[in-house]
Amino acid sequence: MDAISDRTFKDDIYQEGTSDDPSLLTVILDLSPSGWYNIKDQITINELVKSILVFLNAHLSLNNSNQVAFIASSLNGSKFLYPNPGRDYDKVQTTVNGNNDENMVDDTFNSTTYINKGMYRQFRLVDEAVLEELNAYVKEIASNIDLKKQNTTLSGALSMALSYTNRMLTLDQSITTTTGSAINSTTNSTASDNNNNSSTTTSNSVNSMKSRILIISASDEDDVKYIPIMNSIFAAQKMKLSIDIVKLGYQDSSYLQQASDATNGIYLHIIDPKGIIQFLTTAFFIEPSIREYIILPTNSNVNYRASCFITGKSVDLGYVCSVCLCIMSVIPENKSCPACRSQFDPKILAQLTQTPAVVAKKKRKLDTNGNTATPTTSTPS
Amino acid sequence: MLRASRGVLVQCDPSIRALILQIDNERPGIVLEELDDSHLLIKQDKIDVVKDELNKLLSKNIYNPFEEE
Amino acid sequence: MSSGNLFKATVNEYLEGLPRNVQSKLYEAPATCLSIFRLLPPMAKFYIMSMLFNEQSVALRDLDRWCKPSAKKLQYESLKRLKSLHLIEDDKLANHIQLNKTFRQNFRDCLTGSQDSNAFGTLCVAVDKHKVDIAFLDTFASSKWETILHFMVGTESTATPSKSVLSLLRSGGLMEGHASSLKITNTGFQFLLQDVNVQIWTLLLQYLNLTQELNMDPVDVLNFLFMLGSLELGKSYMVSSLSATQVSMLADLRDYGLVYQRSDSSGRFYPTRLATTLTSDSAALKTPSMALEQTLQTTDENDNPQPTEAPSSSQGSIIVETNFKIYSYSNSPLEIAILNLFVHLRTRFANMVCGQITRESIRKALYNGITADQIIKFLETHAHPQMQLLAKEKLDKKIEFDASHNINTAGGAPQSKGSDSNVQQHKLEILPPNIVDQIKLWQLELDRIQTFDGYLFKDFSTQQEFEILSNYASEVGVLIWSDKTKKKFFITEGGLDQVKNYANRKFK
Repeated sequence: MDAISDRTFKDDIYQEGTSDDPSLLTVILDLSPSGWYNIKDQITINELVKSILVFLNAHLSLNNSNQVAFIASSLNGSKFLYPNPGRDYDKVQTTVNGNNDENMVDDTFNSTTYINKGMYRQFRLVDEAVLEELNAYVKEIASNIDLKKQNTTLSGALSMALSYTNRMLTLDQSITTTTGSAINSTTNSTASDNNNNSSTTTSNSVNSMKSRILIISASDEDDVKYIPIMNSIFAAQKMKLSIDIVKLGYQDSSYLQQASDATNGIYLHIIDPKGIIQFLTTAFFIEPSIREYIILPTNSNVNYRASCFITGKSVDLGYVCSVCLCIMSVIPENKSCPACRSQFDPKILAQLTQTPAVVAKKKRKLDTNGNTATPTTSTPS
Repeated sequence: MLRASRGVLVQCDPSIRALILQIDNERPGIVLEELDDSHLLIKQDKIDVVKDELNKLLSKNIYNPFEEE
Repeated sequence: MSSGNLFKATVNEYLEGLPRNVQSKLYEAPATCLSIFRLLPPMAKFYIMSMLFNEQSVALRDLDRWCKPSAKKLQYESLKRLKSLHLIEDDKLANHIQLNKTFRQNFRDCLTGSQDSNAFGTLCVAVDKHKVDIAFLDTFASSKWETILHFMVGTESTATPSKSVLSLLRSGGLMEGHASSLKITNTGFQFLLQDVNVQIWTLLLQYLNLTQELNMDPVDVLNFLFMLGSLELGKSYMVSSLSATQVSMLADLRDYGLVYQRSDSSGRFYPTRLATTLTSDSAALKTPSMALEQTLQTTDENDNPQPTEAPSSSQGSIIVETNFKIYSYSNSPLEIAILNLFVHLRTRFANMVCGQITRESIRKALYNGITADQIIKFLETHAHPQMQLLAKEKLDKKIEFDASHNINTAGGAPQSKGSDSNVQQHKLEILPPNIVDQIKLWQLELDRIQTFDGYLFKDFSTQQEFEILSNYASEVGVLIWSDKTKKKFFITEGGLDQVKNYANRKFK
């Protein structure tokens, strides 16, 4: 009986084995200038964006209710290029369609000459918005480069993506659970946008939205803000959304590797980005719904290095606070943990600094993974 | 030697299986093979007979709210 | 199975049944490519996408490498589907496949936006003197559609739909009898309980069959339908960009409420919501009555899609009690007729009907091919606002209770599932759970046994022989039952040839 009754009492029985739920794709494009400068011989942002737009279209083509979001991140901060709360998509679209007003037509055509106006509307809306905003954004970056800020704001962009995803998911959930119906401006615009598309995800369906994040980065610098990134990764893990990484440039990024590794995402270091569209439509096109059936094309040797809380550099061998597990490459000057402020035992600190034991241990295998090899456990007094 | 024989596989719980076997007792030639506790192989053209009989047997003990009134 | 899948299944089946040359002609239209792509299962979509920007043919072995061994069956089914649509073709090289060239080109154009500007309809540039808004289109569509439904249940004082609609209803087996005295059939009742989307496709597929008899080009017809699905609501399109066949379809589509055209000679047409959601899962018009609500609400779009606040006669009216009694505050003959399908109706008052759900009444419905899920879904979507309010209050209390006691009463899902929050595990229970369960149980009772046609393999000479063959059968997904110790296994009817061939290759 069990075998039979299970069929009826399970909510999701699909003969095809996979469900075809709508999904949200958030693309984060890291625009830090130095990274792009380094690979200027391989690909320009322009060329890349073309591929990304096709990729976005491809995602939208999967399902009428599919959603995309696009975030650009640079040294100056991160910004939503699509959806943009301050933008009226319907208006843009009507003017571009070229109604009777000749002047209007000219105006809009100047800014969006790339997009064929016969393009499928869902695609065109997104593509136009992204291109337009991206142009403005790049100009903005070019006009005020702040040399003091050298860190990428990838962590910020990641948090934005996560909160947006969360909101989209709760918006969908709120119909069945009545809680968390706080709909605010961002979702407002997308929701009404949907309605115009007549493909409301907010219909009373049992479908729940699935989501993933794709980060495209060319930055070769490894000194990202470790803690916020790790926190974002854990949040993503908890939300069960995958972070996929397209890494351009010359070096692997260990933090991005960790991000994809922890969230069951895909990490690929693309050395020749010319044919990136092929990567985007194969390896990076594995939807959450089929992810469990596909062997992910990701390499297994992830570098799990952590970075020092004080210097921000990555550490192979360092000290660990026994209270909060904060990692340090040097002994802090004030002899207390930089994260939890616990005082370290001066005796042990003295041992650590005076003995050549550190050197001796360094000769041991490096790959014994920070934890075991760290000569620490300094107890707070 | 390997053989393949045509038929209808019936999946059910043991109680239903017992009922089907009882039906088979009354009018033999229905069940081709008893596979395990929850599976039987039945002759292809007899499946409707089995369903009908089963329905009759199962309908015997049903509460009908309108009979009381 | 959700209704979305249901309509996909029917449309897919139709497309797969088309002759190959028709299929490849279909792929010449980008809008059709997009729609067909959307109808595919996720795995098949992935395959297509991975081959789309790849000029070379792909080795089947490479496709195998993408899949986990557990997904063999899924892969096999996806490929079968793609092959029967002729979207992938065998290459000259053995064991290589490639995407249909026409499809590849057109779908690529569609994604990159380099297709004909005409592919998704030509917008009217000039302003319409008689401009219509979305609200008008919605009312138009739902009134047309409701006319058909009302006619089916025989509501008095409704207009008779046009001849073409009538002939569709008859040829589809939804109604029977002579023109003057049409009667609804069991299939027709089943039809009434379905999603609007499924209903429309049922009629449209019927329509396609008719057009073939009329020597209309099915490619033209299908292209037009798929194009309609990608048009924009509230915009008008040029009639002049359509082919002659498509222009002649306009009149019929107008009768179904799919498009609005002010007059026969008008040079423009407006797709309605019924048309623009043709190829999407989430039907904007859930039921005819919900269509009305939506028209009332188009000004306030972010409102709860299941409006409970504003009291109005057009919303749900059914109250279900835990003692299986049902009250419906409705005079709509449509609704009463539908209720009569699975409720033992007992009394009728000026503004309400009362009835009771019994085993017999449900069984009657089940025998007519209506499923328990359909019944439950109908009751849920038509539940009285009071029931929804009550359910929401109950749910909020439950969540609050859980939160304050730090436990999980949602049941079923164990805590170890972890990261899902409690909130997600609770479901809004509009209907009393005992009723829902009982209806499902009554359905189960009907199929206490599950039957499969097929073949039993037995009398294997060695254990190894048995294992090789049964493993193969389970890999290709035709194995239903097997027993190692008895060395017997059972496969589906369709799998016989495959397994037989494999056995011949392997053992001889």
